[in-house]
Amino acid sequence: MSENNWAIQIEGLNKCYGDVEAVHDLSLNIARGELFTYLGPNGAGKTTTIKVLTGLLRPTRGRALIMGHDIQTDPVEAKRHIGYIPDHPYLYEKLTGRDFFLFIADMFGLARQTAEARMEEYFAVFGLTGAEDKFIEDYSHGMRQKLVFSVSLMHQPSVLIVDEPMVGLDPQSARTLKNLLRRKAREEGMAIFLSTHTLSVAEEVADRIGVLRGGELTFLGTLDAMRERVGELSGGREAGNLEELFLFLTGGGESNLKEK
Amino acid sequence: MRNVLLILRTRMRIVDNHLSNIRQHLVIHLAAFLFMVLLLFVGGTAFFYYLFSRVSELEEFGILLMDRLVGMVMMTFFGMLVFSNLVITLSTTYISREIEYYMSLPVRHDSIFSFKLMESIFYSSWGFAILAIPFFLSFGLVRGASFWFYPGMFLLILPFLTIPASLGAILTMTLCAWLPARRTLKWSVALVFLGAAASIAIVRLTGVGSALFREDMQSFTQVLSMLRVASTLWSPHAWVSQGTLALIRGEGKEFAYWLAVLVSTALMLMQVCRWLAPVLYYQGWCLARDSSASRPGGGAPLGERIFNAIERWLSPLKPSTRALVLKDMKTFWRDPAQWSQLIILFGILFVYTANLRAVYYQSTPTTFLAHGVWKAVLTQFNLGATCFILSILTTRFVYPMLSLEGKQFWVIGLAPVPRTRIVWQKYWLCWGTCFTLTEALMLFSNWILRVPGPMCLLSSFTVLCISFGLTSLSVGLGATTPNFKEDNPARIANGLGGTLNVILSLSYISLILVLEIIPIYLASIYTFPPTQFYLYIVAPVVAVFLLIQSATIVIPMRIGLRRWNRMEF
Repeated sequence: MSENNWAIQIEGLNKCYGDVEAVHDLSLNIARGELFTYLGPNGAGKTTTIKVLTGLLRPTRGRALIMGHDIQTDPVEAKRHIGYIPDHPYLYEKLTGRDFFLFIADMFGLARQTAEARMEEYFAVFGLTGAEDKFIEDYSHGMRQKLVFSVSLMHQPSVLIVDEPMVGLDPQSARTLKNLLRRKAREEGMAIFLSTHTLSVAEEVADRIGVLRGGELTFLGTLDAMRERVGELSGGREAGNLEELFLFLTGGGESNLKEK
Repeated sequence: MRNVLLILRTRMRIVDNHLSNIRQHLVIHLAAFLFMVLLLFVGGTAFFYYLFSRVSELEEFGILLMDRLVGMVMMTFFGMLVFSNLVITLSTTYISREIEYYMSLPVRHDSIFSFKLMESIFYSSWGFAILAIPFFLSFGLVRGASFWFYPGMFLLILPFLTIPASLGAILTMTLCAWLPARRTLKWSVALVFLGAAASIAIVRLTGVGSALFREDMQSFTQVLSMLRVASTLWSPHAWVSQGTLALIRGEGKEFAYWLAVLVSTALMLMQVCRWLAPVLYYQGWCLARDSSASRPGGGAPLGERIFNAIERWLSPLKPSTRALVLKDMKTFWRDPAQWSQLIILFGILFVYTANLRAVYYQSTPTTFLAHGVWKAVLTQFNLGATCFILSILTTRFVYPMLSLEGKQFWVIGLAPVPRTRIVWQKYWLCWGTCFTLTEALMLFSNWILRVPGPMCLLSSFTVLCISFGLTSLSVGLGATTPNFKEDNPARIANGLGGTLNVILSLSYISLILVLEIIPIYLASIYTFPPTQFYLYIVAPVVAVFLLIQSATIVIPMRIGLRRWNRMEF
């Protein structure tokens, strides 16, 4: 694949907190239109990777490029292409949903008319219509999550970085979101970097999966490739679903691999 | 009671953990705290001692006037304590998110209320304690009180603080049982404002201020009779005044009587709180949750129309800068806990200005307060007080602004704007607001004090310069030492960075004011030829002024911007 097709390029990335190495020598490319899921147990370094990708943390070594722009040396251009949904989205409690949406639209330099049209569109998609003028402090956790999705998609980013997308969403909204993510990737060519613990989501939507353990990428490939790898490593046994594969690869507790 | 102690113990553990966290900075914290306390105590005691000494010099009336003044001051304190308790109890007991957690625990509602009430008493009364200690210390010294006066005063003050706190709590519980807490808070703030205005009106209409500074017998009789209002025996402030005077006179039985009246009233009101809390507290707390904060239908309310107008005025700015300014304004305006403090601060300042006017106007060479440079000293004192208020504003409201963005930094940090723009946007917004407020106050006080033109120009220019300096210190330090773990701006301002900001701000103000006083003082004592005066006195002063001013603006901002650019979130 030519270099121009990569939406995200991570090259030899290291991130240390004092003596602790949270991410070790990570190299990874994600193509436009690809839906990549990033898995790993707690403390594996997933959120650290995401924060480096978004420029909220500085790498100790290596670099990350978003649509060809280095997030450290060319942050403004890189950020134009990013939509980000954090795991704990702290919001401005005293703003209304509408205020918040239009605030972000102004920050991205969107024309007011376009911003209002997109607000209507995304609020309808996520079932927030009617809650535009409520203060965010009165939103439930799920509503906040939906609001964050709406504002992150508003400027039509080329890269969407999502940290734990399903927290607080009801089953219907979760389904809507999965369909939306698939459509954004397939039809609009959006690259999606999705970090999650909800393995069923990864199983359902991922084009490729990366497994991180102790700051190191221990697996990178498709779900089928993962099955093959687990088969090789376990001496020919096979797993029924991603959960068992994941548990085997991360060594996290019992895995019920079956004999072929 | 067991639950209250349990929550208190947990609080103490949190404080202990916090102290462990800042152990490496503990010496700086302690030194800063002691410096502040010393400054306030020494300055306050000197001021009150001077005031009481001058009053006591008045033959026949001095002692009587001083005693009545104590009553008047206690009455003012009492009113302020009731209102501040009302506002703080509302915030901590009804609106605070922490309560939701306590409510989920198997703890009685009235236990939660009792604990939060203790917290409110602490938060609303510490300011009084800081003012009361130098006040009573000076009063005792001037009146030649015995050693027992000081512990006796401590015994009187404890129930005196409990009474307005309990009254505030009873008022809060009653109001919140039928009115949503947020609306009550707004009404209370309006009440505080009205109360302050009414106090000024009473002082002005009754003419206490002006009569106080006339020398004739009739005026003093008038003042004493007017101050008798403060001695009416139905109110706790009068009981504490009577107890104070009994202590001065060494009348043990009389003191014990007034102490017993205060203690029994405090206990009775606390008992009323205990009766009301199980009945009213939970009802009010639920009402505060039930009432949606969403806007009522039928057109944009006044606040929204104002924001729309501001947005139009700001249209020449870059969209991202305009968005940041509007966001800051909206989040501030919609949080009554924030602007209520600002209003109370300016309310107090307004009362101060109105009273300063009486001192200034009536001080002619024939009065007991007049001497050579009295008016110049008062003008400079007024400038100092205004700058002091400005430093409180910048520390309390400006310093925490960047820290408050920490948890939400994923929002603006991910926007395609340079990080430094966020800092500069805050700088200009804060400078504009602080400068407008303090310059308006300065011009207003200069106008009512009829300060001569050149002095007026100098003080306005000083406020302009100091507003730049203080904003740079607060924004620069805010960017250098942010606290992203805390979302309470008052606690951020009370932290290490905030304390450092206060010390640097006060030192900077003192330096600038001293520099200004040097030529004024020298010119009032010696006669210089103009050339020598400008060459040898004004020019070096201006040079030092420029040096201090540019260092205060440039250094903190440079360090702050560099650190902010490299910061991790």
